[in-house]
Amino acid sequence: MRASSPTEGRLWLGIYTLACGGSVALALLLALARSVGALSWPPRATFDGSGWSTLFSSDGWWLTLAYSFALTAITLCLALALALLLLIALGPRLRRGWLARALFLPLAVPPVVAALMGFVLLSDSGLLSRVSHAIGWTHMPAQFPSLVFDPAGRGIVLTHLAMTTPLFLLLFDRLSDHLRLPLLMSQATALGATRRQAWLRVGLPLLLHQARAVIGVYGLALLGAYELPLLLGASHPSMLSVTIQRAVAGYDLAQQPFGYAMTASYLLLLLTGWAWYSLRLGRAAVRP
Amino acid sequence: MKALALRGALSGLLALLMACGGAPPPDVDPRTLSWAGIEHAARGQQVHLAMWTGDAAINRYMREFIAPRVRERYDIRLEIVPAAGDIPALLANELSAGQPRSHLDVVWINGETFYKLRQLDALFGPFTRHLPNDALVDWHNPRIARDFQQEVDGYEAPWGTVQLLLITDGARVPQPPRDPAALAAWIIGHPGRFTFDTAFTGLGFMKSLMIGLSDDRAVLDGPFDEARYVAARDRLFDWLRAVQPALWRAGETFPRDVAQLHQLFANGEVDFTMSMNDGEVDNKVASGLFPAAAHAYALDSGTLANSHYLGIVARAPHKAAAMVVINELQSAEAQYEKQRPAVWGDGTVLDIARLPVPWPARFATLPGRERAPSREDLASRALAEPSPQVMIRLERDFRARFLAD
Repeated sequence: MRASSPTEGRLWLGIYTLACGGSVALALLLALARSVGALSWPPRATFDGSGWSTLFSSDGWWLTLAYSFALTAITLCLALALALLLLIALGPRLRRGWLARALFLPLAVPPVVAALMGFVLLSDSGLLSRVSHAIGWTHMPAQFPSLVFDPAGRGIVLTHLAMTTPLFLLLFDRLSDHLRLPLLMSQATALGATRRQAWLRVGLPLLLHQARAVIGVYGLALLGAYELPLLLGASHPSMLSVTIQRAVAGYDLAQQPFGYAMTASYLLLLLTGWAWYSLRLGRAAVRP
Repeated sequence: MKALALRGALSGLLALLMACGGAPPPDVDPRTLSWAGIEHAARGQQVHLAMWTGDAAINRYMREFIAPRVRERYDIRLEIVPAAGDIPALLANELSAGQPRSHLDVVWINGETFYKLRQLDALFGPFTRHLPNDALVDWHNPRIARDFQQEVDGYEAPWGTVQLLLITDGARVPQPPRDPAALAAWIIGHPGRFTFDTAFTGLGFMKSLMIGLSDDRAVLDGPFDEARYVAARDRLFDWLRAVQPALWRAGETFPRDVAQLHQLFANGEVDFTMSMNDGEVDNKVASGLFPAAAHAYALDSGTLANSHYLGIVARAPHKAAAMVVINELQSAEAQYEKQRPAVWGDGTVLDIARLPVPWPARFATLPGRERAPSREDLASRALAEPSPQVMIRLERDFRARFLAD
């Protein structure tokens, strides 16, 4: 295979940057324009600041943002903890037999199907509730803990957890192999560390450091999730995508500028986070 | 000035993007053609009909009865596009992007959607008088001629008539409450067993209560009036605040739409559901979703009755075919099939007396509804839909007061 010349390389890099950065910039530009009524139909003679004033004056957006970040953080923390515990407990067994194959199964389930499965399992009249009724723990659906359409978002977290944990488990298992973690752990124990100390001081920091980019990207996917919060979430509070979609495509067209103001804010927030992360990476790279 | 320049630049960019797609050929206005000419122009076309697809019985009727029929008779391929309250937003986006042709031809609408689409100038028309079956429509019925207090003006063709009914399970609720006060007492006496959705049907329930809690059934008739709306809304919100702690999940959350509410009722989580289709209870029991003892009724204070319609998108690429499809949906055969309780149970918009033989006799001998009062019995409890602004304001105010949005 012919290696590309430096000029060709720069050209492809330019095209790639334009395609990635350009699409985000265009989306942000359009959201900003729509948030002030530009490009709207029927055309407006003046700009409309109602979307931004609603954004800053009402609690709705901030609550949505806080709720979405909270559910994302809880899901990520639980999924990481569970994946690490399973890695420690199962070790090499993760690569043998049915378990190795079964771990890939949740990755193939689309979010809509996962939401329906979550509903069938977790709702007040779902499978778990029926089992609880059969063994006499509950006597009517309302006595079963509300996990679906629950303002605390427990159904969303549990279903996301079922989808996310196997991914992290597979990732940690492959990283552990790549980093030769068993060897490092045995060296640590040979130097006097207990098994617990070896994991806490060597294993976990190494794994989390190596996986941080994937964890970050998956966190963004959870933050922007739509199907699960739509199908399993409460009518209030709701997660980012659901709230934005309701404002942009709801009955009330007057809510559209607010919907686009939320979209633009969310994009700006993500871009700020990305810029901060890139700067940190850059600083880490030049550190001696 | 800078803002105008930005807007101009953005519009220019969009226009450039549109131009890359190639301009479509100019449309022929089907209203200038004879009906035979319209049918000829419709042949081989594909019609995209945007509709709510949340009911399996309605979807089956469209997929298994209407689509094969228009394919066989007129060589038109009917594609159903799932959509509902987002139709105005979809079309507004197309219009603002300068899209010369819509991706939709026909839209299933009424009330606030019609109001929004007329505001956007997104509907084609007037076209209804060009449809042969329009002569059979019962235009003398004010609930058909006026859509949420608005003149239809030939911009939407009536398709069906409905009335909001509460549905309960006779085995669980042998003596269902008959008026708002009795309903409040029942809810408070049975905590967690009643709720309503926050979409179209739930808003219809709340609008029914707004009128039902007033002494005057015409309290919201006519154009939107802020003072009358606020008074009716406050009466409703007082009623809701009184029952809220006893609603399902203590009134902290509500089903997203009526399909979710039906599911809660079918699973035994609540004792009531409701439907904007007064014939739905029969087909839901027949399909096994609702318990055999389920039945529907209207509150003595009345429930909303309205019609639903079909409109043609102003920039629809296949207007002639859209007109043919709508005419077929208004035909006696299609309306008869639609009204059968086992199929959909939707009321006809046709004036039965004007139908040719044998249709009057067929409609007269339609299998009766088993679990809902007859339309004649319901007529005395039918309330006129208030103007669309009531629904738009009510949704916003309800979310602000009860969902803290």
